[in-house]
Amino acid sequence: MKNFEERKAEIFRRSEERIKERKAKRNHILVVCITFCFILTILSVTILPAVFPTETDSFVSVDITGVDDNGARTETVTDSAKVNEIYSAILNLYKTSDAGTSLGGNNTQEGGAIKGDSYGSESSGTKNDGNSLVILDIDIKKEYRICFNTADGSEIQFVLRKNILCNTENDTRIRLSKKQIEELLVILN
Amino acid sequence: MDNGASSYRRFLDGDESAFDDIMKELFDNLVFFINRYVHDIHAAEDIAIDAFSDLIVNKHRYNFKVTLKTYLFMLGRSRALNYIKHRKVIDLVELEEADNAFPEEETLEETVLTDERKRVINNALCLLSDDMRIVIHLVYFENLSYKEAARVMKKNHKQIDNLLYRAKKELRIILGEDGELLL
Repeated sequence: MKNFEERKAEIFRRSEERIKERKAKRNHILVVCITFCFILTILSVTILPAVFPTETDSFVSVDITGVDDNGARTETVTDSAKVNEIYSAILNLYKTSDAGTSLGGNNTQEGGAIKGDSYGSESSGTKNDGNSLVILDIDIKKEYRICFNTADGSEIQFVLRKNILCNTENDTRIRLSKKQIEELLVILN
Repeated sequence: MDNGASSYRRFLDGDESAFDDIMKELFDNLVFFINRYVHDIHAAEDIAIDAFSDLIVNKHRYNFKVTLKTYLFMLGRSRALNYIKHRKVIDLVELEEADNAFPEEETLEETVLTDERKRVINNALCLLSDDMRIVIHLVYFENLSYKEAARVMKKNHKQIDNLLYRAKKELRIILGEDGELLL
C-alpha cells in the first residue's frame, strides 16, 4: 500500500489527468460544432441557392405591355431588383387573395389574346352574383400584360384587365381591390 | 464532527491543507469499506484514490446535503461495484500464499479497527452475506446513521433496519455467548 504522500500525489495526478481529458473532450466537441456550423453556413449560402433556386432569382427581365386605345406599348425591365419586386408584388396578391376572390377558370390563352373570358365584355361598374366577376369602378384605361422571362427562354405571363389579374400559365385569376390595383400600378409604372 | 464537510468547504475556498485533513480522516476507512466489496486491498486503494480524485475533478457535485463521509462512501460503493462488474482477469493466488497475500490488509484493519470489540466482530463478518457485512460495517464500524447507511447502500430505512436485525441475529449465533456481550 502507498504511504500518505504517494496517495495524495496519485490523487492529484489522476485529477489533473481527468481534468485534461475533460477539457480535450470539450474542445473536441466545440471544434466539431464550429465545423458543423461553418459547413451549414457554407451550404446555405452557396450550395442551397444553386440546388433550389428561388423563382424570383430565375427571372432575368419582365416585359410590361400597356394596351389602350392608342395601341400597345411595351417596356422591358431588366433590373433584377425591380423584376423581383414586381414578381413578389404579384405573388403577394395571389397569396393574400382569399378563396372567395380567387377565381378558377378554364379559359386559355392563345397568341396573347384571352379567349372565352367573361370579363372582357363587361363594362365598368357592373356586378354579378356568386362566383362571377365583380368589376369595380376603377379607372384602368389599359390592359397590362406582364411577362416574366427566364434565362432559359421560358416565360410566365400575367394579364391585368379591369380588376382581374390572371396568370395565363395556369389560368388562375384573382379579383383585386381598388387599393391592390393602385399599389400594383405604382410598382408597374 | 461533520465527517469532513467543513474541511472540504475550506478546500473549496482554496485551502490545500484541508484536503490532507480529509484524507487523514477518511481515506483508510474508505479503503477498508471498499475492500468489503472487492476483497483486494490494492484494488480498494486504487478505487479510493479514484473516489478522492472525483472530489477534485467535480468540485461542485457534492452539495453538502449529506456528510462528506457518506458521499465518499457512496462514490466508493458505486466504483467498487463497477470494478467487480468489469473485472475480467482474476489473479489466481496459490493457496499456500493466500494466507499472507496481503499483509497490508491486516495493518489497515489495525488502523481502522482500534477497538478490540470491533476486531472480533470483523472476524465474524466474513461468514455473513455481502449486504449484511456492509451494513454492519457502516453502522458499527463507521458509525453512520441508518439513514446514511441507507443512502450509501441505496436502500430504504426499513431495508437497513431488517438487514441489521438479521445480521445481528446471525452474528449472535456465530459469536456465541461472547456475541451477546459484543453486540
